[in-house]
Formats: sequence, structure tokens, C-alpha cells
Amino acid sequence: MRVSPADTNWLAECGRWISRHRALVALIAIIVFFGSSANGFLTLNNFANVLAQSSPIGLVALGMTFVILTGHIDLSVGAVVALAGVGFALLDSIGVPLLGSIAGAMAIGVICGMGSGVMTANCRLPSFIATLGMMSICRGGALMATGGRSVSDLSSAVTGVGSWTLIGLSMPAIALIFIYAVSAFLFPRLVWGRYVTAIGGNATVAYYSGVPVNRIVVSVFALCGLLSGLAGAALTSRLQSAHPLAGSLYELDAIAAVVIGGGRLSGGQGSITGTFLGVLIVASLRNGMSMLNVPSYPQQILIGCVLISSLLLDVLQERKND
Amino acid sequence: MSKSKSGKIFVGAFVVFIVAVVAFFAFRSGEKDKDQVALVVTTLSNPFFIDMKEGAEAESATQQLKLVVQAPDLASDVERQIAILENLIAQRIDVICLVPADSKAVIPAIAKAEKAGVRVINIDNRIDVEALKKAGVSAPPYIGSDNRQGGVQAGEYLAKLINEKGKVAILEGVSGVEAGILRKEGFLEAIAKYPQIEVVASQPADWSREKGLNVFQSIYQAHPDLAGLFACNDEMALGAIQALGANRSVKVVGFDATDDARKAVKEGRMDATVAQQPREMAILAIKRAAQWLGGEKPAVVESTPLQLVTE
Repeated sequence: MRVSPADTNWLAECGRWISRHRALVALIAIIVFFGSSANGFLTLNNFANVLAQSSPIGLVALGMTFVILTGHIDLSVGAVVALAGVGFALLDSIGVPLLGSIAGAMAIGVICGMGSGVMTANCRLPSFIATLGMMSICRGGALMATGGRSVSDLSSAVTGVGSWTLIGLSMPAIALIFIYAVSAFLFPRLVWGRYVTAIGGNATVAYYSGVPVNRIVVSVFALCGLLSGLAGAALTSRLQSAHPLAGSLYELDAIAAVVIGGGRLSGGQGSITGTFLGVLIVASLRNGMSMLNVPSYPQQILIGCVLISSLLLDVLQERKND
Repeated sequence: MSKSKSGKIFVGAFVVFIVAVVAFFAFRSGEKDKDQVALVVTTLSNPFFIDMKEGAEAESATQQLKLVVQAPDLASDVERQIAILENLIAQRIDVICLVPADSKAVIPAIAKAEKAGVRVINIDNRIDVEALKKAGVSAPPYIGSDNRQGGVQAGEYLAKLINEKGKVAILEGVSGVEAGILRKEGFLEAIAKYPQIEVVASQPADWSREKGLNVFQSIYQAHPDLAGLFACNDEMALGAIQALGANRSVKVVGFDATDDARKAVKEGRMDATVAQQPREMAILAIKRAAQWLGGEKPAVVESTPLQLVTE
């Protein structure tokens, strides 16, 4: 029986759909694989765990999405998380109410982000270098503010947030989903969003088209800082203590999530839902491997392999389109 | 072969490799009928915890328990340890023997374990009892050395070595870890008896050799007439010794008596270390875990003996 053109088209169509929605397919595959091999993976409790475990890194990855969309990078996010987390804990320990402490953490993040943004946009420093410097400053700041010690005398408001749950989901997890949903909804509808993507596509063209490039770049870094600050507060409430060394290597996980979700480091490409899927993929991979008792060193290697594979697939699709 | 085809084959091979490795670990052990006990430590890059792991492996074989050992890569990565605990609880593991990376941050996870009916035995580094009470969580049975006593022993010995006068410095562990806090307290208590000894610096070096080296170098630069150093664990002490090189003017006392430290003491590069018994701690923990599964709950506190090693 000969295969008619209609059949081949259907198969090719499927293949094309899969490669365009790589992240979603990968996540489904991960869930199926670990669901069948790891005891306890497919439970609501575990699902809530994964969301809670990915809430700090998820918020950071969202901020990183905007930065990467403009073609820049922010290596200071982990250090900002630590500094803001410490600020949050210190504010809380002197009696500032919960919302005030959260606002304080976000303010710390915005200030650091704006610093990075100004260095990148106005002073024309490569963002890699600028944020590397900022990372050092924030990490040092966190260590200095705490004398290298952790801050753990937190009020019952904060410890309550850490353990409060709604339908099994913790406060940070709910905040994560809510913020992503709002961002995914607003981003394509705001002029700001289009400016961000335009700058990543070609900054010079964007500039000559009237896009206020410098201001937008600063705002993107400030937003990333704000989200990192919020992540710092979320992490502190989850650990019920603030560590000056928290958030180590967050920048790498965040970049991985953005890239796995379809983002490109050269800018102009990436999506919020893609990053969310990327965050879930990395988190559920770690969670699943942990439940299968894969030792932590091979876990690191595997996450690296996943990152490279997704980049390779992206490059291959590019070549095919040319 | 065209470039894109060979590329696709490469990616395909990569994916198969990933699946194969994960499957290897997943389907390796199939004994679901044995009771499962997990040993969660702060890192497996410290020989102290490798000793503990070996002790646990030996005893769980004797007790017919299936053992799972997990730890974050860095002793300071509290977040990762909590994720490990949450995952173990989700798997409905029977007993968790835990060395917490932070004496307070693990409490929400302990509360989760209690709710899920997962038994927890606390080893080596004690979870903060006051904070447990405040959170309304019952304290897990604790097995460990009397860290405070060890600090006192170290302090007494160092004081003698430096003839009861001079400047001393302390290298602390990761902050917030009770074991470190107690060792330092014990040390300070011992040297408080000698008014001519002055503590000029006390800095965290995160239990790591590298940090110990760097932090000590700065301290020594600031105080070149330093007479003695107490490091709350051997890894940090060994880092400090590296910084000193052939210079033997600073007396160094560590804690843990790992193999590397014992060798250093024998060779005269380090002056003393306080021997804990990580292997015995783990063996005792697994034994108590087995008894608990048989219905006999362990005592609230059980101590393993300490010993000063000076040669």
C-alpha cells in the first residue's frame, strides 16, 4: 500500500508541532517517565513540593526572561536574592510588618537592578561585566550586613507565610503562578513589551525607530531586580532564615530555564510561558531524579546535558529554516 | 550525511544517553519489601560524612534495611537539603536519619515529616529545640557527640600549648549550625579561665578547606603574632595549615579527626583534633531506626564519646 501525500503531511505536521512545542512535550515526557518509575511522584503533595521548590528560582527566571529578550544578561540575580533576603529578614527582626519587609526586599532588588541597568545602558558596559561586578557587590553586601551569619529570628508572620497553604499550595507557589499568569497576559499587550522584544531583535534599528532604548533597558534590569528581591523574600520565608550565601548559582538555573523554554541569548526571542515550562522542567527533573535516588553529582551532569540538548535542537531548527 | 542529519543523530544519542543513565539508577534496586531508611547529610565532599555513610551502609546491611544516602553538593546549600527532605517525605520513606545543614531552617520539613508519619532521627548537628517548641513540632531523637564538651577539650589543650597567653583566632563553620555554635561556646568557656589569652578573630569558613585557607590568610595577615587557632572542623583547620606552610609558630587545633587530620597531627603539621565517631554515630542511628520500626522509640538524647587526638 502506497503512503499517500496526505498521510506524510500529517506525520510531518506532527513532527513540526513537537519541535515547536519542545518544552511542553519534554515536560509531559518527564512527568510520564518519573510518574511510572518513581514512587510518590504523581501525587498532589509532590506537585506542591515542586512548585514550592521552584518559586524562588522561578521568579528570578521570569526577570531573566525580560533581560535576555533585550539581548543582555544578568549574572547578579543570585546575589540580589541573598541581599534582598537578608534585608527582608533584618527588617522583619526590627518589627517592620510583613508587607513592609517584602516591599523593602523588592526595593533592594530594584536599586541593584537599576545599578546594573544604568551601567549597561548609559555607561555602555557589557551586561556580562556590569552584572558580574554587581554580583560581587551584592554578595559582599549580604555577608557584611550579617557578619557571615544567618539571620533567623523571624516574626511569626513570616514563619506563618512559610507554612501556610491553600489547596496544598504554599504562598510562594501561589505567588509564582499568579505573577507568571499576569506577566504572560500583559506582556504582549503592552507597548513596553514590544519595545523589549524590538531591542533584542536589533537595538540600533529599534533606536532609530524611536524606541527609548536606554530607558527600556534600565527598566528591564530594574524589573529583574524587583523579581529577584521578591524571590529573596520567598526563599527566606521558605527556609525561615536568611543566609548571605543563598541563591548560589541561581543565575545559571535561570538562564537554563529561559533557554530551555525557547529563549535565545542573542535576544529578541523567548516567551514567558516558555520560561515557566523551563523552570518546571529543571525542577521536576531534579525532583524526579532525587526521588529515584540518583546521586547529586550525576544530577548536575544530567541537567547540563538537558540544557545542551535543548540548545542543539534549537540550533538545528534554525538551520533547517534557513 | 548532511549537517542537520548528523546533528539530529547526535541529539538523539544525547537523549538516549540521558534516559539510559536515569533508568539505570531508577531500576537498579527493586527490593520494595524491605523497609527504607534514608541518611541525609550536609555534603558528601567531607570525609567525616563519608565515614558516616560507610557506617550506615554496614549497619543497614546487618539490620536488613534498604539504605538511601543523599546530600547537597555544598554544606551551605540549605535549600537543596530541604528539597531532598521534601522529596523523601513524598516517597513515604520509613525513617530519615538527618544531619541538618541549618539547625532551624529544616524545621518546616520536620513538621511535614511528622504530619506524613515519617520518622526522623537527628544526628550530629542538633536541631534547635527552642525553635521546635515554638513551632509546635516534637523534637526528633538526637544522637551525637557532646560538641560543647569537645570545644572545652580543644580550648584547654590549645591554652596549654600556647603557655596560657597570646592571641588566638577561631574558624567557625556555616553559621546557624548548632554543632559549630556549641564547639565555639565550649572553646570560649575553656579559655575564659586564662585572662592572658585574647580572641582576636572569629570568622565563619563554612566547614570548607578552601574557605578555611582564604579566611585564615586574612586573619593571619592582620595578626602576624597569632599564637593559636581553633577550627571548628578539620577541613577548615587543614586549609589554615596550608596557608601557614612550613610556619609552625601558630598552634592549630581542629575537630572531627578525619583521616587527613590524623595524618597531619602525626606528621606534626597540626597540633590536635577532637575525635568524633561518625561511623559509630551512623551505626547507632541505623540500629535505633531499626528498633523504632520494630516499635521501640529511641531515647531523646544519646551521646557518642569524644576523644582528643594529639599524636
